[in-house]
Amino acid sequence: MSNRLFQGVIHQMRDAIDRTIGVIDETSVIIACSELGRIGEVNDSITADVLAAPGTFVVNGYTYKSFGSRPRPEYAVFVSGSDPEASRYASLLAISLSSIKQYYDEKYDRSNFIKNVILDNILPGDIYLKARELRFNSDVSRVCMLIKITNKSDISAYDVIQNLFPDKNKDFIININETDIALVKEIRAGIEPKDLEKLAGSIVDTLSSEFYTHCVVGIGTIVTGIKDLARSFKEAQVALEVGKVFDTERAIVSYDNLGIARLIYQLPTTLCEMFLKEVFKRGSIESLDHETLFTIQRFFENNLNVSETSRKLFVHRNTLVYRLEKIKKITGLDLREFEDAIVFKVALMVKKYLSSNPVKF
Amino acid sequence: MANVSLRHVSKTFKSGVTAVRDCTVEANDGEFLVVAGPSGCGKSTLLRIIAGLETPDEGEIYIADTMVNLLSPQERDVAMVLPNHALYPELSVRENMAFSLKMHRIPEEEVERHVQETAEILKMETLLDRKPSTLTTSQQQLVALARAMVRGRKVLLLDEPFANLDRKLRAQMWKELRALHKRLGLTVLYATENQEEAMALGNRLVVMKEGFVQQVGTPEELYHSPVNQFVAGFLGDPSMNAINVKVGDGGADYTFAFGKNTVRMPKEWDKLGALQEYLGKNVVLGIRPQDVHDDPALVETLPNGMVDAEVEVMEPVGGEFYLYLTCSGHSVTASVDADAMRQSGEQIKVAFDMEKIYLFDGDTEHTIWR
Repeated sequence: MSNRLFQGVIHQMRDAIDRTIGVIDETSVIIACSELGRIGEVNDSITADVLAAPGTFVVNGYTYKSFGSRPRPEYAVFVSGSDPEASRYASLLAISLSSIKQYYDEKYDRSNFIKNVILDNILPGDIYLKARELRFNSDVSRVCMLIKITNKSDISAYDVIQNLFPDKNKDFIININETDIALVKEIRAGIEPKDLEKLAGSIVDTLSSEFYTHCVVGIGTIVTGIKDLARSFKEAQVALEVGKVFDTERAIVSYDNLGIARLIYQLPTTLCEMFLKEVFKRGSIESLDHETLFTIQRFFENNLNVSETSRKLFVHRNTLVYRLEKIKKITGLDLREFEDAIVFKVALMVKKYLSSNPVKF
Repeated sequence: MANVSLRHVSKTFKSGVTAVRDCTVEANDGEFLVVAGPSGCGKSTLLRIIAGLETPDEGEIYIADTMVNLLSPQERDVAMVLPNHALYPELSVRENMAFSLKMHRIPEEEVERHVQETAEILKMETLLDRKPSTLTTSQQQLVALARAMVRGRKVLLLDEPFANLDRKLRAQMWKELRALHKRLGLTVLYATENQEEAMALGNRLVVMKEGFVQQVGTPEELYHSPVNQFVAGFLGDPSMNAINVKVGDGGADYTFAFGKNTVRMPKEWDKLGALQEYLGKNVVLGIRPQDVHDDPALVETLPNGMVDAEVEVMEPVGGEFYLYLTCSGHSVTASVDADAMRQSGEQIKVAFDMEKIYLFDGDTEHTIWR
């Protein structure tokens, strides 16, 4: 799209500047030129690295000035000649083309479009049309990840993630607010969930080890087509929210793995309160001290196995049995029985949910 | 280079999970110290505490004899590589190394100096202008290391850096890392849950379980003289067999009975009488698979350790075989030569080399005999 835009401007400028002018891209191909025959010509002396030069530069009798996104501009304008006038023309053309491109990008920006899709700022009917206009492949699989920076840092996490996923045609990085960044990533079909977690792990570990910045990543489900990206994004949001309540130590929370926590998170708080009142006698759960709750947690983690739990807790088996009896006396639930154990487990999760101050409904 | 000292360090997360409990560990200047243990044992948290990525609730951390508890990660001058490190694909090696420094607004000349110095130390100047995609996997690992080292060089913290590599490549990286350590004399703390990696790399090992340091020592010390059943089971592949037995008095011998099988050990070996107090009690008998023999000629020479076993399956592993057996309801693995092929369900006699057995307290799991 940019090629036609640039050619239009170059064509109009041709008569005003009586020299050969044109635009070359980072792959060394001339994409617009006042001499039409030269379009498509490859000039190997201009590479992506050469384009990184800040000012104007002269190569083989032509003056170049790069433009596009910094620090790695994708284009350079060229003007024949190496005199100061050529340098001035190149600078003027670069400003002009850069501004036009910016305006065009804003209007037809793929990233902006994706942002509108995931934030539900576009009518469902328009998604299909615009996706076709912007040449999005609707058959590929994509996933949304939401990266939340959890500590104050003067590092731009956006720049770091942009450099980790630099393919601007396939991956989109969107600043949601000052702490949240969304990553919409094209992935190969049939990718394993653990590979997605590894991908999220690379973000967490890079930010952590390189920039001492803590973050948590929520992963939505894999979707095909553009329309469902909004769902994947919302799932990533839910994963982070639910993770914050139930999985406080985990830096990566996948929507697919939320299990029973998701169910509880979606229950009305009034129902949750009612459930707690029914399960526990008045004040009984409050009378369980921190150590007892820790014991219960370990007992669940060890699949209700008394010997294993007592070993892990460094207490005698009989001590654990005594504690379990005490819990039974207080709450009426015998945790060694599966039915009672599951009620208690759900009730503990519900309590955890309610103590996280959710919106009441 | 510097020594690292952790004194009574503890860390409990907000959720109530205690990751590190009263941990005291010393890594000497230039030492390669491996922190090993299963997932969730606290080894990564320990490294993150040293790097300053986590704040301990208690205890002191010293790097080069300076207390660093109150220093920010940047000020600690340590390099850290995490398991899921990723290189920036579009940036050259030089830019990859310089990226974090630039983001921290370090002056350009200083960045270039750091990059150049680190590249010279790691002998990778020729890679500086290449893109990550043109590098071999081991070169990419080297770049990840270099990227960490531009930020700090006093201590190198490696948290399972090769976890995502296949076994062959991992072994190659161990070799290269060992050579690098030998050449540079760096102080390295390396966390891994892979016992093979731990044994291959470390000058000394720290074995951790549930936040507690279990034992510190050379790989040989820990392998041959484990302080408890956990350390004994963690080191060695396949793991040490653990069988619940009852200690009995057989006259001149101690007897260890499990099901219909009984093995014996002469009392004269127990000169200090350590096993006397366990008579009639249940203990755990540990024996490494390499010390369980199925060769009939050898079995005859070890009458004290002879037991009846049923073959479950025989599995070829390189030049040897793992024989999975059931002895009186206990699973026992033997590492044997392929002299005789065994069939599933076959009843055979195997022998424990009683000179090589370990005994662990049934309650505390502490080693009572080795």
